[in-house]
Amino acid sequence: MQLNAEQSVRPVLSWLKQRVSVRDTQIESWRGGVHLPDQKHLSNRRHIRHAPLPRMLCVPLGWNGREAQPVVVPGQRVLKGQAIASGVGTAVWVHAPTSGIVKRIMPVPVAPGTQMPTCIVIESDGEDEWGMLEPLAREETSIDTLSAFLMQKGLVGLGGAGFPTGLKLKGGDRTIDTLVVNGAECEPFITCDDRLMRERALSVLQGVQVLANTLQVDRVRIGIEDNKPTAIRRMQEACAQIHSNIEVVEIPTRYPAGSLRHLVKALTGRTIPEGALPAAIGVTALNVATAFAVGQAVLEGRPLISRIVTVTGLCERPGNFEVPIGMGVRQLIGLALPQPDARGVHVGGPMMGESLAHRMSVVAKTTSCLIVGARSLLPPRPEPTPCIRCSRCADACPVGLQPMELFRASSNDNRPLLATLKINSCIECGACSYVCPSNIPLRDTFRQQKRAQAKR
Amino acid sequence: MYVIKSTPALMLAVAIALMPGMVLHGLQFGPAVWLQVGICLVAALLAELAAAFYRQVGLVKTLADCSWVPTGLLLGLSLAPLTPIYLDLLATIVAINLIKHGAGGMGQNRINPAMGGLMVVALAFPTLLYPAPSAHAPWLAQVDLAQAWQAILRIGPRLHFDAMASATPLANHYQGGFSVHWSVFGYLLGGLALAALRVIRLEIPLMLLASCALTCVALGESWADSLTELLYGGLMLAAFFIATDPVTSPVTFKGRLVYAALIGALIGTVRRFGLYPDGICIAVVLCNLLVVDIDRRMRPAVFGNPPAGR
Ligand code: SF4
Ligand code: SF4
Repeated sequence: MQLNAEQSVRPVLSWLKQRVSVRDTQIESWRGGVHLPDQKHLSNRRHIRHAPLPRMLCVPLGWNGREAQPVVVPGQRVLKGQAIASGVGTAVWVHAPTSGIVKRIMPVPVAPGTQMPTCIVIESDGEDEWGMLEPLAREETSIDTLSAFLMQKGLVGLGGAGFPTGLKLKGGDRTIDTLVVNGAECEPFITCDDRLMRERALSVLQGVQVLANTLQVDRVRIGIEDNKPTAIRRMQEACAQIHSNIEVVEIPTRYPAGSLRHLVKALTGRTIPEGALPAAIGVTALNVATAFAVGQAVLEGRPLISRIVTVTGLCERPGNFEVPIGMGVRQLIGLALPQPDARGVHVGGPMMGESLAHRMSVVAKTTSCLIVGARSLLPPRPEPTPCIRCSRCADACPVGLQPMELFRASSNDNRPLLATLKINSCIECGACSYVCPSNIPLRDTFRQQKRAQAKR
Repeated sequence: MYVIKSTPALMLAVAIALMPGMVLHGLQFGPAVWLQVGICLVAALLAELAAAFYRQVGLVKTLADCSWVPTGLLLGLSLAPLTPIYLDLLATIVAINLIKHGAGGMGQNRINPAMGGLMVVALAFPTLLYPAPSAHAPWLAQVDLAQAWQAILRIGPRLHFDAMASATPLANHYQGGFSVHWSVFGYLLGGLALAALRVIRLEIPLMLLASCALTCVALGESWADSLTELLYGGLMLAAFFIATDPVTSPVTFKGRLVYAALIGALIGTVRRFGLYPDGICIAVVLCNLLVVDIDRRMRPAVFGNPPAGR
């Protein structure tokens, strides 16, 4: 085989470019980011397993102060999928993950344990008996109808912050012409979307199609990081099978490729202006797991009562589990057979997640991953030393901030300078903290600073 | 992504990368070089200890950042061999106690400690510094350790060879014609190794050397002379080890290009016209002082925001 000259020179060039810190903006759609050891192999080899029904489920009614109103009373029997709390305003409805008796309504810590929303405690009767399921009539395709329907089915974004999907679809005035589906899964350790795409590619696509038809978009692009070749292949095969024009796009593995702004930029070339929603540039974006859940809700009438959670780290049998919402975190971890000496649990990815603050926490709709043995797998960074202005953090920042300057301004609480430096554009991805040779907790500082400013 | 992941390791990497150049320098010019470097290193350690004591910061914490090691080595390599010991000490104290700890410790200083220390000594005591025998003089290699001690302590008879008026190894205007400094190749090697390990940014030395040569040409020297100029003295040391000090150089790529180009141009100019042979330390210190403004003017655009005004 003839090796063309350009191919052989390219690695040398990119090596050199790294040394002189020029960013290659031609092959990269955005600058910065970091390559992380992905640790996906720990949990991506096994099929998704169904978690056995626990005896008790504590189903959270919401979070961040956005809570649904209970419509059941203690002592009442509920069926699987039956609405147990009704959404008001921006809160989504909540449903019973299995059949059983409502025991109590009380606050319970929800993973990672920093919030204690009201939860409905259900004692399972072991029957797992479904209530009535009402799919959306197929002809109905107006955005408002779908949006209201998804609120009623309890749909929230399963990738990140858990924003109600119905509200997201409503968007703004501009017509949406592109649907971006996020299968990047750029955080190390997490493999729930990977397994979902491998095993249920067709169902994911069905959900995507429902959304695409309703929104009447011209283009649908699914972005998947190239460290998931099997998922990419399965999704492409599924697309071919249903003759859809959905494009499966392989994107380079680079954290945070799955960040909303960065994925949209990579897949559409458009930049979401600071402070705006993707709708402002004609894009709607959601995660593959959310698209799957949309499909389940619309076509089969199943509300969001379970999700896939990765349990990984120091376990004998790590992997992905289909978990009813409200299952105890400790019980779930037990299914993966943690090693006896594993200490500490981390909730979410190692970059954006937090360590489990309360042992009795339950799985929420936003819980994507549990890393067991966090104390040895993700040890705390050593004491910080002074900044030496090496500018590694600036090179790593995917939004082009100057973290070393932001840090100095934060330490002095210099608000005008922080505004000039655009602290509000920080997506709190932690790439800067990751590369800092002085172990400065840059991201945590910015997060605190932003919260403190928001309070005032 | 990065082979060298912690700040003390970065400092030690710089120190280790200095070794090839230092060894070649020592082989070419004899024990006086080793003595000089040794004295400056010990002085840097003592200065650091003193700072830990009077600033009441933990001893271990202060020493553990290791930034005194490259500072000591750089001072030792850039001061002329056989400089009186009290000037060595003065330069070290200015560098570590005044410039670094005076600013609040590692990372806070705005000018490179070694260059600042060197500049103070060079400007304040030119008469004491310059009559020191030139590092370029081949006879320096013949001075043995005992003689070197006597010379730097200023005891015993003054070493009197045909010492030509010259200066520190960072300067090059001496009358003896061109003789290759072996150390140049060592510094080049060490510097490239640092760039490969991503400890320093290659754009700084490349731009600095290019700009220095071009300036010399612009000022009327021949191309051959200008390029030979690059092989003189400590220019290579400055390009790879001094101008690349992250603390005192800009934090953006464009900023670094501007900064390095300015240093190169200043060195070329000062060498051509200046009174001070130590063009390098003055050029570096001046440009260090410009870094804050360069950084402010060259902030990159933030994703999703209109291009930054400033
Ligand atoms: S990576 Fe750390 S040490 Fe380097 S410039 Fe940023 S904050 Fe400073
Ligand atoms: S946490 Fe903020 S400042 Fe740090 S790299 Fe991410 S976006 Fe940039």
